[in-house]
Amino acid sequence: MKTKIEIRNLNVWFNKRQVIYDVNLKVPEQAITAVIGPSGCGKSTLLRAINRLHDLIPEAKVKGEVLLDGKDIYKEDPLVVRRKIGMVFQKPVPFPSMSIFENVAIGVKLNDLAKKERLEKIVERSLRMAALWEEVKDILESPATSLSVGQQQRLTIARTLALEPEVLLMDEPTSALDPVSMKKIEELIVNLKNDYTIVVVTHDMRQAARISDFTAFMYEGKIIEFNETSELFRNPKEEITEKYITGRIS
Amino acid sequence: MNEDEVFYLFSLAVASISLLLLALILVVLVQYTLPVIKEMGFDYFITSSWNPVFGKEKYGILPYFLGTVLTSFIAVLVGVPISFGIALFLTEYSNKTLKKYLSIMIDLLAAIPSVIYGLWGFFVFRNFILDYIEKPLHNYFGKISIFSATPTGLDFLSGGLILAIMIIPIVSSVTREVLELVPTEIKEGIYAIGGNRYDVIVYGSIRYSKNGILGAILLGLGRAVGETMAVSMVIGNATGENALPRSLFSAGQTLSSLIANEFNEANPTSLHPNALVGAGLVLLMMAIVVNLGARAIVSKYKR
Repeated sequence: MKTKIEIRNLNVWFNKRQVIYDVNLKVPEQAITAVIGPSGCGKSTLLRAINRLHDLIPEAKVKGEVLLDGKDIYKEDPLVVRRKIGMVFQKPVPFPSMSIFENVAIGVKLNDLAKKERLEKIVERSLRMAALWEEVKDILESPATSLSVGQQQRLTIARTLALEPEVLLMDEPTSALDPVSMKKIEELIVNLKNDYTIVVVTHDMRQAARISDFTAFMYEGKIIEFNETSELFRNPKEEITEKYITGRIS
Repeated sequence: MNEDEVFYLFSLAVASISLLLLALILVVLVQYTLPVIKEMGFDYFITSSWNPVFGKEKYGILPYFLGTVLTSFIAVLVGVPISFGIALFLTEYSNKTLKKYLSIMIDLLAAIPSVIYGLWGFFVFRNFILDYIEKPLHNYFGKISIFSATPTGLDFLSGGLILAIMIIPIVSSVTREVLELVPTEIKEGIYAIGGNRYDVIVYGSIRYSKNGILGAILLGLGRAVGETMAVSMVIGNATGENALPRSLFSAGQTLSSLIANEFNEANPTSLHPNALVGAGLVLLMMAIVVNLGARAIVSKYKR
């Protein structure tokens, strides 16, 4: 399987505190890679390093390489990087004072990627891919805040897809949601892997087992083990991985 | 009675005093104003003659009302963009150390007594305004009515600009507070779709905080409407028809500067004191409306 993202010797510090230690990881293309581990293990920090969100935090320092199709994203324009590598956050927060339509269209508008006529098509396509179109097609001009939290999360997925990224990063995308919405998002993620390379950070091991093809287990800022999901859960090679997946550490 | 009850009663009493005071002040203001309204009728509010000479008494507060509106308007027009720039710089651009010290300095501006602003305005600032703003505008655009009067530096523009400086601390600090409440998720969301800092400010921060920012502006307006000392030192203190704001460069008067200038020489047997109290009543009403509006918006926003 082809590697889409390769992380090489990645280290991240906040002020003087190191939170990621020498991480190396090859994320395969058009597959779902889950990153699991106890809270505070650095999995979100790792994810955010993949689309340079740490650039925005003055206290954060990143060292190492993140290669997208062989090119180091830390040597490119961060705005272009973030367009190619989309991010869906834990808590869905629609943009303020914008309709459903505008929430999806805004990224395309900001980056001047399309004319007005095409914008409508892009919005519809993105909402369809995010499995939200049928629910909102008649209320596109309503404020996005009128949607339920589950719908809002699919909306933020749609607004990320509107930019036609190559990679989707998801930071615990279902942890703020009810079980029904969670199931919908999980189905959606599985459907999306035909077109995208997906990295999902989750604290829910069963979720990782349900949806991912590969799983990386992180502990105290290091990647302890990376393997095909079924293999990692059935035959963990490291003792600490086994302890975690059997619930003996959390 | 145990100590808890004593303390309860004590604090209740103290708290009631403030309400009582406001009510009493309102009652007294109305009581004092009634005679002049009886004499002048509604003309008191809509005419411009001002003659405290006994036997020829005439009182109309329209010019001072307009003067208050005009100077406050200038203050908001000039002060708000500056405050807004300060708040945006501090929340979105500056580093933590710079932010800390700049915030303290700006808040210190609020600690300067207004008479100091007035002194500085009278001896320094007005000459600057005169030479670098008013004279050039008058020379080049003197045909336009708002620039037509011969500039002296003691006029509506000076009053408004002094106020603009004086509202910067409150407007910028409240704006800063509301901008800091913008959820990180919104900012990061915009960065994550390839937005830059400008996009984050325009589509995230400002949209999210627009009510709070409006509240900040109204709080500044409230400060400008009520401010007395500094304004009365630079506005030129015209009265009667002359105080009507015909040009930015003509000497004027606000409700508060009128009161400050004349209360001391008002003949207690004439209607002059009543006319001044009436100006105070109108001023208080304006201040209450603006402040309540601001508070309503800000508190609704903070929830």
